Amino acid sequence: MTSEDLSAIGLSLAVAMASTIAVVTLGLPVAWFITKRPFRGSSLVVAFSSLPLVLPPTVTGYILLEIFGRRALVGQFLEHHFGLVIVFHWTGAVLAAAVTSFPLFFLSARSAFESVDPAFEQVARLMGCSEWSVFFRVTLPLALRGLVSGVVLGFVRAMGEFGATLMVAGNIPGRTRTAALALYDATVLGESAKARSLVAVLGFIAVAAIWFTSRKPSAGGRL
Amino acid sequence: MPIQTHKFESTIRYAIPNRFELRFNLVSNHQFTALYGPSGAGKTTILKLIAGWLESKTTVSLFGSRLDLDESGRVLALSDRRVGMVFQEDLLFPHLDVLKNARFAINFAKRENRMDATKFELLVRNFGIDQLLGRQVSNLSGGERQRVGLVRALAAKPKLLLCDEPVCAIDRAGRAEVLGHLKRWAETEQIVMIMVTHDHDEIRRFAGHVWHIDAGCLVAEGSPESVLNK
Repeated sequence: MTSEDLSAIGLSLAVAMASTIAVVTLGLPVAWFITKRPFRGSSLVVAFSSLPLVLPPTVTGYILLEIFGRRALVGQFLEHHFGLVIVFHWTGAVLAAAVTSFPLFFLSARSAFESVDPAFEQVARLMGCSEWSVFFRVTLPLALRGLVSGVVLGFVRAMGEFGATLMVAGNIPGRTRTAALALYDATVLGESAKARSLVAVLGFIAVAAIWFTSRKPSAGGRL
Repeated sequence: MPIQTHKFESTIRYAIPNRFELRFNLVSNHQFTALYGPSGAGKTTILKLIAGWLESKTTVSLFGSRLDLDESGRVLALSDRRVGMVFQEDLLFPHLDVLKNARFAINFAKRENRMDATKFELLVRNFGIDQLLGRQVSNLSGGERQRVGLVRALAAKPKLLLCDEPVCAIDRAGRAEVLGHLKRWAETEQIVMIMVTHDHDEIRRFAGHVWHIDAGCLVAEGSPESVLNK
């Protein structure tokens, strides 16, 4: 494996990590709110945030360009006020990965919160717990398994992001060329040894993730 | 003329969707009152209404002062009412061991004036769970789980304790013993108790007053003898 391949894998890991942090930060409170304090139109929020799951990734990428491109409304705003350029930049890869992997975490988190019997939360309230304690001492630990699965699924999805990333961040060696993009290049150029080693690494991470999320719970229902 | 105050008083107002409307007043001048009636009569719903678990227009007073409102008349959050509840299906937290379940209120409630360690130890010994403290709740028998549930509720120092068949999973001999400890503890701590039960012996041993509920109506009330002999 060349240093170029290693840097592509490193970039993929870094992008997936940053994307996962963003997805959890936004997705966790939204998923909690939708399940525990549903409001009119919450099903609309669910439908909208699940959209990247069914849209072709290139369509998601195109929409992101229409929003975050250098001539687009939000893109111009970010560049003018914060000096932040999304397109052809690693931040663009993070954005693309975050948007496409959001539904995987969000839907897992939602069903994890739904699986927590509200009676347990009521019991904690009756014993004098504040809403914060109810969340941290009851809801979160009881939902933890499902939440961790969601994090892993989101991370792996972000790791393998291709279409939207190519549209938004491009394929610049050493800057925005992630492992998935490097694999595409290697295949097109007929570098099969390189392609095989990238497939092995990406495949291993995916299989490890599936194994991790499908383990049987140990005694006491803990992780 | 002074207004008469009762030990316990509640106006129950709630329509159970597609079934019947609960609309009556429950009054008791005894510290221990039994809620008696066939299954499906609405007994568990009544406990949930008194606890504030279900939203309704139900009101609750202990010794003439409202338990569901603060001094300025605002509705209190469930966590500020000091009502304890013990359930038939115990609802022990599956992610915590026995000790952490029992100490839940002591560890995490926002209340001041929590139960001290000596008293907690006494409570644990009285209810016979001192040998279980390190166990996972999933490894307990039904009776053991109910004992832990009682300790957990009492450790939160409620003013009013609502029990839904709290000893039904405990063996016959243990039942009388646990009920005896429960009653003595409530007497020392001045906890008003309401208990749902089908068992006539339990009612005679436990209660000073009985409400007989059937199909959502208060059909009879009075001393255990007068209600049970009808």
